[in-house]
Amino acid sequence: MASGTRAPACSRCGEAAIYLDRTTGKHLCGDHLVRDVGERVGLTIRGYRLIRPGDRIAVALSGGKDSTALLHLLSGIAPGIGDVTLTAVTVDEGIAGYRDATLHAARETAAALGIGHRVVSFRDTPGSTLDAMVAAGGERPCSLCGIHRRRALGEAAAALGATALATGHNLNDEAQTVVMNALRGDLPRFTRPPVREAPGGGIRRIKPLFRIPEKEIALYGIVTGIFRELPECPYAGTALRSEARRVVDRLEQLHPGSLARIVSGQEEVAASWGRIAASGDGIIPPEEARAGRKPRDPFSPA
Amino acid sequence: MAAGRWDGELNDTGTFKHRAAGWIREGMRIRFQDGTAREYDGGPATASDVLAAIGLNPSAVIVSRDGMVIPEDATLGRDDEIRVIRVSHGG
Repeated sequence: MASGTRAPACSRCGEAAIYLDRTTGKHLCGDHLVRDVGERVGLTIRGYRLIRPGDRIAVALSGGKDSTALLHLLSGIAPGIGDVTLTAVTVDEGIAGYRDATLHAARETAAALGIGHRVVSFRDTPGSTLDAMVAAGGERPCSLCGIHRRRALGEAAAALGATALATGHNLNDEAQTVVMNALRGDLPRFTRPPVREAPGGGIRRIKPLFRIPEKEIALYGIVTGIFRELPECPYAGTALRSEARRVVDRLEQLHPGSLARIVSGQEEVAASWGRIAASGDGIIPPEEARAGRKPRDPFSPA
Repeated sequence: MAAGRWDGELNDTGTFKHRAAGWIREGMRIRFQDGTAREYDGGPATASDVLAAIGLNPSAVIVSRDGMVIPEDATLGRDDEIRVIRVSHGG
């Protein structure tokens, strides 16, 4: 380190800090950041009852930092919940120059943690690689990938007899989704609670990292030694999500805590919307509006 | 000097000159994941200020110095060499 330069100290122990939480103004060293992230993920899981005794959880493992951290964290938290089993599931979309490296990382991560691992391929379902689908034209790559990946993960989870499918969506992802849904004017998705029961007792979709900023997850990975520098998806730049990412990152930098407020705010909107819709107070839930139900005309006789 | 290694000497303004592969620099060196590098020719500044000056959002990257991750408000010197890892991207 150069003379005269300053290294801030951890607010809890005085060791060299690696992270400034700009919302609180506090610094954390590596050990305390790892502890802090683990505690907050545990609180999220308990607070929302994301994982329950007896759960069989399929963990979507792309091999990237978020899903790797998720599997790492769940492997530590799940045993404390009771009779919970974890199986990692990786989708090979068939993206040249990208997926091979992350697939290799996923295999190594699952093996290192002693967790069963299943790989499902777009070559089997839907029967074509993403590269081939993109080359054929039509839908945008991220839309195509999203549709088929969700389906592949759902089918793999069902085949495993899973009760829940866990994904590594983080706070930034969730805030981006809120902004995207607002930009699209997609009221059904905008008013959807971030945590909800699966309809008909199906497989629950759970996102244990949805309260953790992406930067903290990356730092968690670096400190615990599981972070790998991997190639970026070649199609990532084409998505509306890239624009939303830039917007929310900038908001967070200018106004610390923006990410958390966007996600918390949407959660409150969804809860309020749910209460209004349940009251039957002349509001047509978006799903029913899409299906053609019209609001009652207040001037017509009942 | 071995390829890729840096050495430094004090110049007449009291800052370090670094010499490698036949060129001389007088500012902070910033290395990126893709192997590229650039210089920041300002005075001592926080990592956050340096990132902002080169058009990067500190919320979306991690900075390390001498192999150690540092928070965005750590002060950097002119002779520091930092590495920037982008954490916010798709895929």
